[in-house]
Amino acid sequence: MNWVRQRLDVIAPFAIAIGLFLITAAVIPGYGNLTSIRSLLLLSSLLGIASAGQTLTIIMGGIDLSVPAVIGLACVAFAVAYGEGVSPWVIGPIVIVAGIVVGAVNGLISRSLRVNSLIVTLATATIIYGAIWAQTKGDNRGSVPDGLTDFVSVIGWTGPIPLPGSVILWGALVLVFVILERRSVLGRWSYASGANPGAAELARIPSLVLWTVVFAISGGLSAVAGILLAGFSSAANPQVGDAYLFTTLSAVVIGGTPIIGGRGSYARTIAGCFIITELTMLLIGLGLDEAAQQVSLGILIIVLVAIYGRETHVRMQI
Amino acid sequence: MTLRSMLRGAALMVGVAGILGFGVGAAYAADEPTKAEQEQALSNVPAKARAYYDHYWYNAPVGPNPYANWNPPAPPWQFCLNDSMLGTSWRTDLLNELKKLNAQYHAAGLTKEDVLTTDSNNNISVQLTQFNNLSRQGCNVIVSTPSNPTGLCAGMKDAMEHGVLSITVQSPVNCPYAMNVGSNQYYGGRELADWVGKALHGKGNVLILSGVPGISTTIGLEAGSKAALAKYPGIKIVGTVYGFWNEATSKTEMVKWLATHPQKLDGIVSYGDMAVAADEALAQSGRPPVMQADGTNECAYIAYWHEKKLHTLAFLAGGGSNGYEAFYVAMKMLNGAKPMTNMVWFPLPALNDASAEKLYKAWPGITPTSTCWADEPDHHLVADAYINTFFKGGKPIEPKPKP
Repeated sequence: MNWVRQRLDVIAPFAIAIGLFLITAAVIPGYGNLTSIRSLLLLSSLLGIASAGQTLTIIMGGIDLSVPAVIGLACVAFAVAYGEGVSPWVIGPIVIVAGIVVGAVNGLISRSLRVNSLIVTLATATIIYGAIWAQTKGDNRGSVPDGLTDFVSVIGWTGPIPLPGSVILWGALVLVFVILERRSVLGRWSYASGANPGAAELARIPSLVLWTVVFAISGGLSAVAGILLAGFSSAANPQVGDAYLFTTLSAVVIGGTPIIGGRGSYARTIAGCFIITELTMLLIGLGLDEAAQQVSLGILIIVLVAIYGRETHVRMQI
Repeated sequence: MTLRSMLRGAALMVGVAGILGFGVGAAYAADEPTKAEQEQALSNVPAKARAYYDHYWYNAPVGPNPYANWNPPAPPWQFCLNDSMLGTSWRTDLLNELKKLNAQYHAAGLTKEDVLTTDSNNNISVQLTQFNNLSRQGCNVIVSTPSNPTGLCAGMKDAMEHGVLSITVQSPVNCPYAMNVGSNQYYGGRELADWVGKALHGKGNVLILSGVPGISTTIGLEAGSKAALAKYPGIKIVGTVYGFWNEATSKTEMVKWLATHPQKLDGIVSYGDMAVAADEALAQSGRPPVMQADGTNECAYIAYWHEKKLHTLAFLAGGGSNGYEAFYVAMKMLNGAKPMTNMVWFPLPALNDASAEKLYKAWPGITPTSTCWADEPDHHLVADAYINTFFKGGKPIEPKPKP
């Protein structure tokens, strides 16, 4: 029992995710069928990929508000370039590298100038939206390859596995992130910096390199999410990532990673992604209108965070 | 942290959140004017156009000419565009049409060289500041797409006092300081839903795929659709999904809705820019296509419907065509014509299977991922003669605008 109490903040999000699935399956007939489960996994995977970099930046003590803008940039750049005949194998890596560069600049400026990353990433987002407009003048004609659409299709298959490629990619990303967080120097530095940035510097952790690399990872993964969303929506839309500002932050916090950093993990964010997707599906399934859905979602987020998201910051526990 | 303190915190938060939720959960309701008020308002509208003002109060109040004491300035006139957000192809087409027409009249010495343009990125405070700046920079006509029906009223009042003509496009304002050009959303929502009701022979489950919840456009469209479907006792509205006029959001929400609603779906009433996403969501959820009326002439929709050979009802509603109508109203007033009302509404031309196919052929190369708007080549939504019925007096517009 003591073991459960001590790990309640880790167990609770997963227990809630499983409980929510069972409740929804019991309340809504047909929810437990294969198509519904694949829908849940696909939508969670898109959110999960977009939330991965956000989790790491928050653990490190930062925050990345440029996620929706980088998603929009990647979506537009990929779809417009492909529409003009550029190979997806050429434009895809270019777009991801562009996301990495944007992220690296975010981290570099935030750390070298000691400016809160919230402000820097918000400014970067504004610059990106302006740049998209300056380049396209709102005329975002583009298209996406069929293979990419299948990759993010509810009924897509990955070889013999009856799941779309996006879900498999998310699974691989989870493995990489768990190893990155637990077994790599970068992971240890991130936790140390989030727990106490001053102490981390005294321990000779190269904070400038750390922030640049972590934000670069966030930018790169946002770009990957942007490409996937181009495939999902079959369109070039700079606003495609707008919904992912609130939801990526919510997934991280609901998963149990404190917004002030120093603790948490991407594994918890996975639970957060499932909880958000399941909650919205449950509310839609119950026939609640948009206003009632928003109110209910807001209440549930507060309740969940109140249950297991009020730990004292690591720095204060020493 | 103990389990007890966690639960205590949860209980406290439920209480606080419940109170907040009750506060924000209050329903929106448009105030319906009395019959006498309605008759009074519509007395300003030409008799033949009144059919298109059904339930006008869902959009904005209809009133008399706000520019009764306005005297048009001498040419050359400076045209300006005060846009809430220039980030879509609809808005780009609107700007390009204004620039094209302005250039024609500049060649005739009647307008200044360029259209001064501002973009507020959907921030109404910024848009108001930009509106005031344009008003002081010598604009004679400010065409605007307000992101809020009241946010620009102070600026428009000030502009009117300084002799500047304000014209809104498809986003009317709730104040008597502007001419509002566009169409009645209630009427549009009613026509779309009625088509679906007829196509389903009055029986079946219908889903409404709406835009942004809570704004007057959406409220008007939904009210019109619900009123039309209520006439078919065999039709059941099984839900409303909000796609925010965004392909990714509409597809995401449709996938969620379909995953939690296993019952048969027979029809969708969608309000533009979301029908392709809805049909793709149906296909990816293992469901057959349904009768779907979309609402607009986006190239993606026209091309997708051509490829899939689906039945359709849509309306021509591109930014370029709306820009033409707004420019025409401005030119009428600059030439001395007096409008009868503040609200110049027209019926949007409907597209059926045959006319959508004709439009597809007129726009070679469009695909289901194209983001353009397949307007008619002359960029007219209605005949100029229809707009003329809203005006009295004035000189003929010379030279006539060229498509």
